Amino acid sequence: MHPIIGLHAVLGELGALAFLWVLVELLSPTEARVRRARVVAFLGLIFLIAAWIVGGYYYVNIYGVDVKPIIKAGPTPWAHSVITETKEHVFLFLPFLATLAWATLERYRAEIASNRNLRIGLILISALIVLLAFSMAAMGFIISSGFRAALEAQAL
Amino acid sequence: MKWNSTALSFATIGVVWLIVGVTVLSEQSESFKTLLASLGGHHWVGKSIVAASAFVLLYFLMRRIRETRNPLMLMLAVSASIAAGGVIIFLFYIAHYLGS
Repeated sequence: MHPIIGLHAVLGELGALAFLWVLVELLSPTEARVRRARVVAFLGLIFLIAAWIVGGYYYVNIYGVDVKPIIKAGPTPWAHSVITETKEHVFLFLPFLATLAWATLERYRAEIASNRNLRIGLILISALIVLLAFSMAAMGFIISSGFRAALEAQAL
Repeated sequence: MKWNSTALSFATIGVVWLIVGVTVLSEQSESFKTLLASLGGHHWVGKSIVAASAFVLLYFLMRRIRETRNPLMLMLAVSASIAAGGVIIFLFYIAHYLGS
């Protein structure tokens, strides 16, 4: 386990938790809750962009060289060919979705409490960010399991 | 700066489908994959650069369009694109793996 992948996971989960917080604030918004949601959404966006950069560095410089060949030679090569490939590309949706959520909160900050449709839309986008980010963690678990299975197969 | 949420929604939808298209095309064409790699040293970095650039470009091209009166419908369209795009990428890689 490389510390950089741990940092990537932490940043991604902080991004997910930030948008879970935004979602909760928007369930019953007041002026103070919308203000908090705007700040937390901005932090969530920063965390997800940081996870993108750190994860990208790990994927290009470490995973591709040290991990991918071992998984592909192990008993579950699909852990890379299907799961890693899906993860690396679906992840790219997240920073743009987070930008949309944060910028919409900024744009409509004065109307969110009174505009039910807008609030439902923002809750939906926040929920989607949370769901996608946690699905990234689940895919990370499958990839790690594939790597472990390949190492065990080599050792036995 | 006052963001245009409608333009951002359309830019997000555009980028999602661009990522899906570029992902599928790069697995079908080695020369396209090489072209992406030439942008940032690795095809995934190239895809990230293309996606981020397209998002900024699409937003600035559409930033003066009138704000929708029904943001929920646009956000539903964004969500549907994300869900469909994710499923297409997942199914594509399953088919690619089974066919290899």
